[in-house]
Amino acid sequence: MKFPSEGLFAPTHLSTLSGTAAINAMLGQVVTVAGITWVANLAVYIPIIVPTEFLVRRLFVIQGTSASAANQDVGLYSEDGVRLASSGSTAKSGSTIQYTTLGTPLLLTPGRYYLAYANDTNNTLAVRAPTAAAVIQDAGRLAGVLEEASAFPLPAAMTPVALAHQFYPYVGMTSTT
Amino acid sequence: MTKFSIDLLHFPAPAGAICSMGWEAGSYGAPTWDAFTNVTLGQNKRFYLPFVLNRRVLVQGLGWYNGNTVAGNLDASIYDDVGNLLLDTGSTAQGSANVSQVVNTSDLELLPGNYFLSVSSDSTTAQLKAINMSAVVEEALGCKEQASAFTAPNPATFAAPSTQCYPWLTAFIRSAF
Repeated sequence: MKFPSEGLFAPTHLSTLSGTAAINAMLGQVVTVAGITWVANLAVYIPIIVPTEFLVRRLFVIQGTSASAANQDVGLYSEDGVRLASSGSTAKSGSTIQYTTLGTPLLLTPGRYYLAYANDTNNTLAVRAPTAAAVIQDAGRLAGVLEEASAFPLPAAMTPVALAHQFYPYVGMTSTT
Repeated sequence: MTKFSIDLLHFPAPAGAICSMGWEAGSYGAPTWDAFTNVTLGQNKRFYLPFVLNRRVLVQGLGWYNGNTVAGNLDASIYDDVGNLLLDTGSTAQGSANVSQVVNTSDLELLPGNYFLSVSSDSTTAQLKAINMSAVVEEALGCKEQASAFTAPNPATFAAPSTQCYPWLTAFIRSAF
């Protein structure tokens, strides 16, 4: 059997933690252990480069420690702002990683995409993220992070504006089940 | 949509070593903003750190970075993405504190794909230099863990991480060919 000496493989997990995501690799901000406080119905869209084909089987969010009865939505958008996949409104559960398995795996071709997160409540400690700081907002805005008010659940097409909050939620996707 | 192009065959392309702190590890890099410190591994607990290869390489040794407290033995190894053991140092006495330690191995040819660097200690006190990142962040990178696995199991039985420990591990390679 012939084996290739070169091939195009991606990590099994891509997320806003990844080096190919908008800002996280360069910010050096420590992840909050408890989470940050969200603004009800706000969606944040974080650009990420997917350099190889990537079969999305699950979406995930690293949740904060809040025990509130909030709902959240994790999504993936094309560079043009079209929703490709999302969890839909899902009750927040616990303080670990919450996964959503897609009914049909989604094959991404190399390109630029947006990972998205929204929450329907002014939810204290909703989601893990870097510690809220002005640099998150400024660096995020300069790196192309977007947001949208009144965007819960995540819309079929985003109508975003530049980031105006200190939010950089940790959401991602996996090629594993 | 914007046309997208990137030199994928060199992305990532480790030179000299595959390192858990390198671009090829984690999720296109491991977050290094959390404290880089001396972390106790825990007796017989095995850590699996993912990495991706886009080029064929020849592994010729494994290494780690000893912490402030050294004791007992370590066992480092490489696994494929489904848990098959590919290379193992065997039980190796931990060397001097606060210095790196290299173990020569038999040559192992790795083809492009997804793999894990792995390590375990049989001591309750042994430390390695590691990132003290939270277990949920490790999970988001694709890391795995296994209890009672000092002797490298084959196959591995992957479980979600539960320990704040992302050790500095290295596989030395002859330059990609």
